[in-house]
Amino acid sequence: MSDGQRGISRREALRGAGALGLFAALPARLLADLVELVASDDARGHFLNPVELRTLRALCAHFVPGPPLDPDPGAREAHVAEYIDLLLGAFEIGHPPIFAGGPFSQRDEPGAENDFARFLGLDALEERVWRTRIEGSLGRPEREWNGPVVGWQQRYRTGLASLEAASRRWGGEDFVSLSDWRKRWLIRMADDELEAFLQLAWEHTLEGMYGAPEYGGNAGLVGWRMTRWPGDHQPHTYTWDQVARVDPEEAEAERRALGNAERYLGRKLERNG
Amino acid sequence: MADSAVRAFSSDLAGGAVRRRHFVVIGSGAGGATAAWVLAEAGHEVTVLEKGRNYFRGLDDPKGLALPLFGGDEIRQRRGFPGSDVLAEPRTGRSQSEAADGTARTVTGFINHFPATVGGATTHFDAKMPRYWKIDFEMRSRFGPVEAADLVDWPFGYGELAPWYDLVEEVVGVAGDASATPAFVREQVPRGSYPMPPGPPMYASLEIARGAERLGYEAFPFPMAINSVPYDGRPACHNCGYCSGFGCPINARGGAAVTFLRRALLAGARLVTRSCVTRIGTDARGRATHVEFLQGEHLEPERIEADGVVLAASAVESARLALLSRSSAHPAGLGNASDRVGRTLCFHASTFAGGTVPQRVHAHRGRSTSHCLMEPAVPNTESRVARWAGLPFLRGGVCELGGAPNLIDEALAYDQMPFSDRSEHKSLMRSSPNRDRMLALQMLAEDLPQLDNRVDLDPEVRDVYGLPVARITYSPHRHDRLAGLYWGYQLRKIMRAAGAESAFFLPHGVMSPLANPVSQPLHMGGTLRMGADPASSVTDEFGRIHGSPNVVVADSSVFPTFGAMNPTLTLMAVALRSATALAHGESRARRGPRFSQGHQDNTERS
Repeated sequence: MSDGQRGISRREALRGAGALGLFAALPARLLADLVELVASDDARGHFLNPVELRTLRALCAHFVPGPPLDPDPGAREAHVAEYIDLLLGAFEIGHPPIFAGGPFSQRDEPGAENDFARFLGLDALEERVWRTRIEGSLGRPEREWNGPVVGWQQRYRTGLASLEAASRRWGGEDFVSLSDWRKRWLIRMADDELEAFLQLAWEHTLEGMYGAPEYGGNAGLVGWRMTRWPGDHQPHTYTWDQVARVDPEEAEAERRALGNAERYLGRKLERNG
Repeated sequence: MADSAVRAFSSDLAGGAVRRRHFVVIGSGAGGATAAWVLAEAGHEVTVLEKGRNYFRGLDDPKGLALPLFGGDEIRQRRGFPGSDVLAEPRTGRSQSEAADGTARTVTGFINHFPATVGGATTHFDAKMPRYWKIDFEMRSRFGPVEAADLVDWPFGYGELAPWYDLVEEVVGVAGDASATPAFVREQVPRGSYPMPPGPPMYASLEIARGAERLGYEAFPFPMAINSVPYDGRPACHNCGYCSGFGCPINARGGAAVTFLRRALLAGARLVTRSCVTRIGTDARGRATHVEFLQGEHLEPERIEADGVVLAASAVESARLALLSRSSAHPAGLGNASDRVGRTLCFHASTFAGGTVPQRVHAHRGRSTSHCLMEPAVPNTESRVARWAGLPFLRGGVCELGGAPNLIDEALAYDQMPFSDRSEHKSLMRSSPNRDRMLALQMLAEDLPQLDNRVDLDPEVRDVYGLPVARITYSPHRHDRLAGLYWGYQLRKIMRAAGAESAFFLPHGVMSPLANPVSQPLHMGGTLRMGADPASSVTDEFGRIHGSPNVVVADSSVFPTFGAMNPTLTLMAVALRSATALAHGESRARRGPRFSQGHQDNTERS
């Protein structure tokens, strides 16, 4: 029986085995440039307007504060809000940055090619699913295999507006102007609908704070430096001893760093690590 | 690579005249890849249909594999890469009591999803490859019956499977140390040496092992399909740390794609990705004639004729596909004349123990675990707790010793703490009590089969392909909850003996197993179980569906009981045996992988 009779061309079969056509032609610097474009206070985002972006920056910075509330850089310095805005506008920039490439970032090697920065291209099915997730189903039958979907774009637009409305209702100020403790209380008192949005924003904040920087967040690797997390650092990895034993130099450096942070926060250093 | 046994098996498969037939293999994971290799080596025409995409490079290149597209990227993993998108393919779930009340579902979303991608779940597994024990094949006759559980024996025993285990270990490359294995384990799994020595021990694993040894346990290197030395053209693991849940960036892990599937492709099998099978068609006698599927990114309806079909889409998806394959000969679904398809679904009963220590344990270096202990897998027939509860025994399972390796997972975990308002977030992330200072241990225990734990088709919820999704009805047996509780206390003692300042455990069933991914072990089986009697099983001892003998199930769906060990090695060994019967007939399969030399000597030889 020929391939044609089975409805699968030889080319289709080989495509399966070869992983061809997966790379999008996304220049390595493009994402960083896209983030920089919207990182100023009055900039318009790739999806969010300047007011929404400002509120989101304040929310993310409240979730993960930086100086002066905390000695280490936080979400504002890590460009977390810009990471989220880029995700919401993923289909506005030509090559949606959904799945970074691989296998190695080589970001410790100046001038080396960074595989992560070459994002994988989505095929038509993946694009349909990701557009549904981000943009919502928008009444399109091909996106409503399980009924209508409210996308992340709408959830952020509505959620940020609700946050502002709650802030004004409570104290007459916009969210950005609230003191830290007032932001905290406002969030703790959120109703179910607002809480669902805050949970989504919290998870995205953690991704933008602690994920691979190629997605637009974790600028300057501040999330990894604070946590002493090595991140992807391949192809150089660990020796047998580094896997099997406590690293005395690392332990001492960590003890110093932790002590500095705790002293900054005015706490007693209790750990002896 | 010491592949003399592999060469001999391939040579034996290729020898002897066979009528060249065309087999369609559904799924390219552990079972499908293994079966495809056997069938292709035997000279048959083989088409592997894989629902997902391919992220390997050079699988069919005789000159060698190139580096794949996997990498240490936690965001990509959280976004369902590769191939676990719960918006596209949700599952639904409910408990047994909710089902009895007529509740359609209480959970929609993630339930024990495996990646739909070339290589299946072995693209993200951490390659722990212990053998099932002798008693795992004889639970009913040795320890049963158990009230409210459908405990049965397997149709064959450890001795029958042992030479197939040897062959799988050689193909995928298992690293281990037979001499360090405790005597009570060696008695259950008599075996020779491993193809490779173990890799570097993790500091966190060693610390827990030392604590366990203080209490009289014998921890030892976990048998794992991760290269400790270059093997079969693939490099040794370089300890990057992005292991469990991530694809291996250098092909050091012996998953299905770079081992069995690669061999199958080099032997002439063809792989067609983005092929979502929607139905197995049968003739009036019930035999499979063709497979219908949606091909490519635009989901074009296709049909492929077949002399035989290998069903290996995973325990949930294979059962779902059988239920979708209704025909005049199988009006209730393929092989479902006795309403057994989808029943006796087993996960492993997952109990987690953690302990915070003063020092950093850097579990992000190396494999996700390097040592195990197996004492809890010994059924205790003298257990006072079991006797008090009216159970004939109490059994836990294998325990994986390690730590918590992922940063975003850690950040999310602190949010689960009671009354957390996130104000301590940065202090917690700096001091890292739940990651870099945490020793972690997971027990995967026997999940007793129950007829009411099952997969069926959700009456309303659909996937992106327009098909009814799998609905999972599941409640743990009280034995499994009791074993989780009993062993949880013991495991917490181990944590304290290892120096933990604080220790805790989460026994199986304390959180809803379907609503909470933490309690899902990403193992599953039992939905198309093997047996001699069509009234109480779906497949025979070679995985052939009763009433449709040219459909062979080659994944863990066929397991009659789910054992107390990680299942992949056993899955592959059973798939090898079943595929050999499909390729050459059951008499050659019964003789073991060395057809021409009789049954392989499998006694201790190291």
